[in-house]
Amino acid sequence: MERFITSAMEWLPYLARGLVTSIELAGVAMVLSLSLGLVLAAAIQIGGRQLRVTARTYIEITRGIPGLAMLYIVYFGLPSIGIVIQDAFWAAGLALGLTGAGYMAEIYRVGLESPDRGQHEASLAIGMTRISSLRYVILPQAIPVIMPAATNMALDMLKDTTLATVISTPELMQHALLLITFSYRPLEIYILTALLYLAAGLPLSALTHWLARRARRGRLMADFGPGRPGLRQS
Amino acid sequence: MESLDQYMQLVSEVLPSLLRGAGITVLVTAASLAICVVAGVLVAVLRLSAWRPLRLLTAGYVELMRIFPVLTLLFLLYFGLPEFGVRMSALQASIMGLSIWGVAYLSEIYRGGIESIDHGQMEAAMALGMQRSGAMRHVVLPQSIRVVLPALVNFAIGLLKYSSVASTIGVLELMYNGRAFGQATYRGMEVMLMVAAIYLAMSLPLAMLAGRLQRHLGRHVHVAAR
Repeated sequence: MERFITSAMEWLPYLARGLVTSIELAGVAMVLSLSLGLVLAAAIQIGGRQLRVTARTYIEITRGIPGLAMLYIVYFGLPSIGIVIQDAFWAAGLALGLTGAGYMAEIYRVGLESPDRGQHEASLAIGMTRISSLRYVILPQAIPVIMPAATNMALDMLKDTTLATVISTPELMQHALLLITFSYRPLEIYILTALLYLAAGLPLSALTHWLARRARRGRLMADFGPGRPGLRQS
Repeated sequence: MESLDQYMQLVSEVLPSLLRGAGITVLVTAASLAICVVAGVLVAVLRLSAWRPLRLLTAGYVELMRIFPVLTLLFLLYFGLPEFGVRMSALQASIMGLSIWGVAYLSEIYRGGIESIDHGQMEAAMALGMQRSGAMRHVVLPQSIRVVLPALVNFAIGLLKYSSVASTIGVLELMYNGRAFGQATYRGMEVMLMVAAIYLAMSLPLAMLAGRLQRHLGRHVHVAAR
């Protein structure tokens, strides 16, 4: 045990640097997912038929293939059609972001479709514009649904950054593997690595639970509100 | 740019091995899924048990697996455990790793299904003189299947995709073969697109099934205060 602690002290700074890269990578991928996902969701909600079909196809494909396949395609595949991304970090960020966008688009969609369609129709009927209906009626109900799903996705993204180790991105898992080749003590280093992932993931997980609880409570209040005599039941 | 003929030749050379790899992928996925479906029930029931320590223990396990990357879990099992003298093949390690991860996930799906049934039904069943276990089996579980089944199919898709991680510890499944042939033929892009197409061919029918189930079963789902 004592031996483990002294070694752990030696390893920690190096592993922590890897963790920082992991978090940065997850951040880059999340920004791409959030923005590209929004574009996809908008294309489905307000786009024409062709745009809708394109967006749906993109979503189905990215949701249907493993993240690893996307990584290999971006890092080893794109160069063969002339697009070379030198830095493994950015290649991994792009690949994870492209995959994440498909998931994020679905999260937006479910959120936007969670208020009953009648509400949108009703707000149009009382003379609201489409924009103000979205702004004052749909979004206030959609956002509580979207938020916990998005933080949960950020947690998944943090986990999926481990995949980037296959293209040698210097993130936490890669740092752990390098340490192991020098020290020959895999078990201890893997456990330490796991603890670091936990340390980074727990706050995100707690945030997700908190947001989900809040959203549930909000929904409960709405169900008891005026015009709704009680909980919806079968 | 190469001609279509050259591409078809590459396909005819590589495809048989990729399909053999896909067989292993299906094996890994199916084996883990079978373990998850059974063990997930156990964890879900323990999570809802009346005894607090048991509840906390299972909740901790589920929470841990939500945060823990699958890749790290596989490496820990395959490269870490031999220090304790526990050795297993890469195939066994990947099935075990995916199961340990998946059981936690699936138990949450089961729990969501059970909790989606209004508590009043359980109370009503018990007021009629049914036992807790009987009410669970005859009233709650049959209804929760409507909620659980589509989610279960989605879970199977996730498992199928995550089985690709097994390639990193050297299981000769679809992703591994794709990488190996991509390197051997210097045609990484073409081979990887084939790999992606095979994954799609397996996951899309499942996704369609999940969608159908959701629409078909969802018509009768009125989840109380979800």
